[in-house]
Amino acid sequence: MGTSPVPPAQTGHEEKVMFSAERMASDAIAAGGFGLVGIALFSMTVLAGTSASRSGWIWGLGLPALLVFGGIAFALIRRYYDRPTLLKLSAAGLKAQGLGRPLRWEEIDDVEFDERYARLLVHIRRNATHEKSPQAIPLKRLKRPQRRAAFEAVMARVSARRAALGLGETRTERDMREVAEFDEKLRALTPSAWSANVVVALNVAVWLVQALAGVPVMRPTSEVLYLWGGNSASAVLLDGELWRLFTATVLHGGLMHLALNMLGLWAPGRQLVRQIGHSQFLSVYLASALCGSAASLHFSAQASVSVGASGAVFGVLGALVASSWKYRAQLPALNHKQIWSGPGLFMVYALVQGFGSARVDNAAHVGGLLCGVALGLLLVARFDVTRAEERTSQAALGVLLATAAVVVGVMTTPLPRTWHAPLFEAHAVLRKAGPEFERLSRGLERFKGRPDDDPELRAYLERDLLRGCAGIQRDLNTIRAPAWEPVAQAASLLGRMCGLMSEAARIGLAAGTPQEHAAAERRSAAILVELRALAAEMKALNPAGKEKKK
Amino acid sequence: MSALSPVRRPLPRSWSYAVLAITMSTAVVCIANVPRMHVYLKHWGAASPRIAMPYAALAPDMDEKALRAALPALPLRCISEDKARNGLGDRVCYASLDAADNAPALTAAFFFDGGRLAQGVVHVPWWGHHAAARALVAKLGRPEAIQDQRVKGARLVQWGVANGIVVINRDPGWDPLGWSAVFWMPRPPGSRPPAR
Repeated sequence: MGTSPVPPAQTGHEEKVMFSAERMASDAIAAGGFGLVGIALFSMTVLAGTSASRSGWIWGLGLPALLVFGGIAFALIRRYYDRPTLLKLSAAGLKAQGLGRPLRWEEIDDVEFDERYARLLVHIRRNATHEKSPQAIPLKRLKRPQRRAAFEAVMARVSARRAALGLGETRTERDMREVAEFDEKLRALTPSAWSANVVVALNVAVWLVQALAGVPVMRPTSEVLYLWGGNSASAVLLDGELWRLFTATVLHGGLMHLALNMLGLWAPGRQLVRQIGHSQFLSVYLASALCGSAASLHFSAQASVSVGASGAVFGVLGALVASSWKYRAQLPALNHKQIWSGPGLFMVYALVQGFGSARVDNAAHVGGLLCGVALGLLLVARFDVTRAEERTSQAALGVLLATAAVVVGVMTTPLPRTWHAPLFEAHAVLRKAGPEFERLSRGLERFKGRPDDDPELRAYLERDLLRGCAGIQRDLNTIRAPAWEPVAQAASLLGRMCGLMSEAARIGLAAGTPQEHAAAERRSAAILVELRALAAEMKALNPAGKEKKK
Repeated sequence: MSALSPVRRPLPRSWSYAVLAITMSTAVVCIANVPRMHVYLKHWGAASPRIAMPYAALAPDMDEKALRAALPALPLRCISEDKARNGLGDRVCYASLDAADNAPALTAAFFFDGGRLAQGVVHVPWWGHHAAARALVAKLGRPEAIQDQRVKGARLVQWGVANGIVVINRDPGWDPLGWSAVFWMPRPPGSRPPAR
């Protein structure tokens, strides 16, 4: 770091301080990458050109590629080794890249630190030249702690000069002081955010247990998620498994799904805990999760297995934004702005982004969000001492309304088209019956062309085919999937195919006289035609399951 | 009131709004369902039979006597009807119910056309819709057809039974005093399950 060895706060703001650009590892990595790509492209054209005796490839493609990528790599390496001074503070003023001219301290009215774009915004007093305000000083090439140090150094000098001129604190200083005081107040009321940690830990723990139990870490199937408690309208309505409304919200469709939801929950969750307290936070989380699941029953969970905590995450975001709007007069302006530009913007982005994907359970997002917003408007914040006595009754009303919303949501759910439990059972039966049928068919092909009275063929038909087909049909008869499901149709086709094969086997075994053999052959030929037609029908079916993420 | 007695704090204003909203919603629902209220009053006011619906025994050649024999526990009351008005039959036999196949039910009605059973219906309260569907699955097994698009305002799930079909509406609706219905009707000769 190119700063002076002594921190500016201890020097009486007279000493010169410099902030020089850091060597960014990303520049070196990018330079390496571009260099390698250039060399690879050049080598490829050399090899291809040599083998095809086309030197034009090397001169026309390879060399230009090497020059372009090599040039970029060289520029990046130069940038890596070049460490210009980005910001220079002296007793008189500051000089920085990005500023048209050096600024004197008395010219500066205020300084802001824009963390998102890594820059200082310097507000200059209006003067005769009517310079535009604010002016930006880019700090991207400084490391994070140095950016903060640069801001504090500039702010300390500006404050000192303002104090000397009797101008009082800057707007930024006032905002920062208000935020610090407010944070201190919240920290005193709710010293730790353990409840937010608990819900994150619960979601992670469930995922870990699943992973240890052998559930695929990245993309578990909908059948597995259903077995673990995924939300499904058929299970809730027809099997009475209401508990799925909750269990689905702690399950996730893979590591990425879990990570995105927990990242979305982490900071806003902790902020909401500090704002409304543990019990109210847990109420918001649970109510939003259940409202999201109940809303999902009408849409995604009608056909898919729905999992994920995003209904609850949207609820927390909605409650935070709604609560900050409700208490906008009591929250520091900077805090209010940060909530709307942080969690608020993220919430809108995630919601809109979800509508663009068919695999996202948008109903759960909207259900959770509406519940969270309603509770955010209803619940009394911890810092609202004037309404402290109403806190319990407001929370009770919130819980009552959320419960009513969940009950109505469940009661009004239409009977679904997809009945998951029978569907997955049917898949399991078919997974066993299908290969068994294949095995029997392949076995029969070994005896192609042999006469009906061949002892080996007769033994196979009696011992393997008839028994095997009877077993398959027994298994297929247990299938409960509704008749409109492709898997049920596949099972029905398989049953019919097995029935036809058994019929052909029985006729062949029963034939004794030449006339009976001839009749058996005719019937077998007709059965073969039927079997081919059924096999074509079977091929046209695609009995596959789906899952949805919340 | 003595000086030491606890101060009774009124509930916050939001509670008043909530109570008002619930009261108004209840009033709107009740007013919209005035013609049906007598059924609910009877359902809640007096005990009625709990029956098992003999769907497998219902047949288009049944007359009133045969129906009474199939439903001995049900005190059916029969009256003549105008077929041109209801489109179902010239006579109807009906009775109040507490439950059909262990699912909440309000009434059962059976329409006769020319003395033969044309249609049977069990009316199910809003809150019993899913229980009725569960009961049908338990009793009749897997359904044979389902509608995705509404036909005359309803989407149905259909089961096949010995002499006909049984259907129930898929959507319970948002009216807590609305009815769902489980219909039995003869399968039209040569008919296939309804298209999706």
